[in-house]
Amino acid sequence: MQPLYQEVAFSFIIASLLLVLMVTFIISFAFIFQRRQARFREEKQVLLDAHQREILQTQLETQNQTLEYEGQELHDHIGQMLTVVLMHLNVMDEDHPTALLTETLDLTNRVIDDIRALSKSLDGGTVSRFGLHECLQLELERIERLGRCHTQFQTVGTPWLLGEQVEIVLLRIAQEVLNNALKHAHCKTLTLQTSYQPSSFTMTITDDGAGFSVDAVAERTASQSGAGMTNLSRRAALLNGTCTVWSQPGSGTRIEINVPV
Amino acid sequence: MVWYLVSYYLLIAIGIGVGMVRYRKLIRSSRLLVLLLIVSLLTELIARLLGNGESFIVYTLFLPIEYALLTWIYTWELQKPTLLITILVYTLLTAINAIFIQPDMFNSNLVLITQFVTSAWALLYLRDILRYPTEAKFTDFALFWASCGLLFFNTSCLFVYGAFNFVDKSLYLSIGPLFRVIRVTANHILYFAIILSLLGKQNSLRGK
Repeated sequence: MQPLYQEVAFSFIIASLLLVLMVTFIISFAFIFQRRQARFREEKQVLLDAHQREILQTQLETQNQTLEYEGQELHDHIGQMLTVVLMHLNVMDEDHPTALLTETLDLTNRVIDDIRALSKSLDGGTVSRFGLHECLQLELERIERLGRCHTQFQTVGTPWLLGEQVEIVLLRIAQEVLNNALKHAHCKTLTLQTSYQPSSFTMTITDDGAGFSVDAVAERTASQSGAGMTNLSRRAALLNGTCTVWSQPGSGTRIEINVPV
Repeated sequence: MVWYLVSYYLLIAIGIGVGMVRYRKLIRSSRLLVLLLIVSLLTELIARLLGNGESFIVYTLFLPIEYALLTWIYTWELQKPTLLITILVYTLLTAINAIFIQPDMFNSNLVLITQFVTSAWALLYLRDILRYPTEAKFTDFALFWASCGLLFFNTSCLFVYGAFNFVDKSLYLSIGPLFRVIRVTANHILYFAIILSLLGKQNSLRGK
């Protein structure tokens, strides 16, 4: 028969074991809880990213529709009116030809050409019909015709189709960068280079204009700065790509958009 | 009959009543809890009828049944059939302890083993709840309250039951009343927790 003190000793042994068991489980509970929290945070971030993407996608679609509408209006309405003006001027030129009238005719012809080019540039359908490569060329030709700066277009690798949606986003990015260069950089030369690699597509736009401090722009508050640079990054992110900006005051700007394929 | 025994039996009876009323809505582990309550009530009543001198025999017989039921409950929830093997080992230990180690006294050794092992089952169950991919609250799991009650009971009564014979023989006048209060309170909390489990939602780790 078991002596009574052994009963107490056995109680202490079991109590100690139970204590160890409890502590082990408490530690494992803490780990499980921490893992769950981390997983929850990750899931939340994924949802947030997806939400941001959806918003951006919607914004892009809306912008695209607006631009297409404006392009169509320019082509169908203002373009047609200018054609009528051109016809009248031609009639006047046949009846009473003067140097001023001939100059006006030339000017009107150039305006009609510019409007057609602008209309094509705004129309997203142009990308699906002719592809990004062709559209970028047209965009540079349009800028060249403005006579404000000289443009260069370089291509590395053989161009292939990246998909309509991707190409529209890339075209809009290029348009925004080119317009920024025209508006703020006051450059003499604008170079657009596309590089078609087996695993990625890279579009680099370089100007020799005024440049700016990238850090200073990044530190600006929302009210001080436009959404241009942020928009570029967000649009690139929509394609799982990156947007890198190199610039210094007085040394021009180089913007590189890299999209994995 | 002292007041705490009345409330104690009443609490078990309420638990059985709740279990019977909600029987169709209960998952299998909760139904087994009802069975455990019935066995507990019968054991307590028989022990009461036999009186203090012979009651330890009833508890010796009750222990393997209690252990088997608790193990069955957690085996079903944890989906680990290997746990059932411990019932055989436990039954063997009961026989050895009752014949050779504690033949004519309260089986404190086996109670201690039961408390230790069932605490492990409860902790495993709580761990699995924590791991379970669900939006449901912990309290929606059928055995949550019962497991908390069991853990509370086991830890608070470890020395109360573990050193039962020693206190009964040597320290009854000094520590005995305190141990009785702990035992009664812990029992009440355990059965109250079981009732909460029977009344609550019946989510299971098996996916219900």
